[in-house]
Amino acid sequence: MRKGLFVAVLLGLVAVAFAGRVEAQTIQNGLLNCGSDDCADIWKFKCTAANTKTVYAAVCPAAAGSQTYFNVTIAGKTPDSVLGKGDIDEATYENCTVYVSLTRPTPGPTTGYISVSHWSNNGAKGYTLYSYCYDKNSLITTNPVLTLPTNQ
Amino acid sequence: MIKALGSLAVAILLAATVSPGELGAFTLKPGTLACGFDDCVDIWKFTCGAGATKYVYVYACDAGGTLDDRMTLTAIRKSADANDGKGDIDNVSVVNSCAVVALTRPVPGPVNGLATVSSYLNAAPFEYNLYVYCYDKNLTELADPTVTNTTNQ
Repeated sequence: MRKGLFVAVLLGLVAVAFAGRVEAQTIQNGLLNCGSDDCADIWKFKCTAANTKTVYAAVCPAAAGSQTYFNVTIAGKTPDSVLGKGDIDEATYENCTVYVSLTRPTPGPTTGYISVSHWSNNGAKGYTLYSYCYDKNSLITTNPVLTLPTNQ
Repeated sequence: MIKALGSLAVAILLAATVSPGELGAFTLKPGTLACGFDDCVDIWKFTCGAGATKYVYVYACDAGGTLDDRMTLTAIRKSADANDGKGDIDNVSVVNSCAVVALTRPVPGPVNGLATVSSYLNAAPFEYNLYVYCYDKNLTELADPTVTNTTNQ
């Protein structure tokens, strides 16, 4: 009986932790209305948790057979220690980019920009943007807040 | 097409502005990308401090005459208002040419921003020059902007 209760509690804790992990990301769908790196969507992100250490972002085609190469760039805004710090990745053909990251020297709320473009002359392409906020132990903190001030 | 014509126009403007013997109110920063395939990025922060600033033009120009594939430039406004994150992208694939992005303030005032430069060129390192110009509403050049490299890949 006690063993059964223990297992039930354990499963509950695992479920809660798993649910938290699944939810602690922000997924946004986007559409680039032209190719050849002539259109960019620029997202603003905000990781509000005081224990934020690293922000991650990646882009995937919205559907199979995208016939293009997606590009993602992350750049920090605040705090001053991350202003202009960043990283880039360009996906292989029809695949997701790898995660680009931005790491604070010391934990705290973090804001910045994520730019998305694609390289092909095939016109409009849909994509999905994934972003995460992690603490210093690589545990997910709060969901990043994403807004889209530049939508091309 | 419109964008291409715009790029051509600003390229002509740039060429005219930086003609030898003339002084232009711009800031030039040489940069080097250590890898291609858009796997390296240089990020620059810039400030046009004049209160009359209406337009900011950012150019990334092939400096080594080696560009045989695209170089991509993105410029992003950094502000505390609704214009934060407004920006644009351009790329160029012609040797000794420039990618150009223009930012416009709704009303004049100081402009802060970030510029990112990457290249698909597979013959690294790739050399380029970054130019930043600040203009008022009459397209008169203002004081030299402050430009600082913050990410150097």
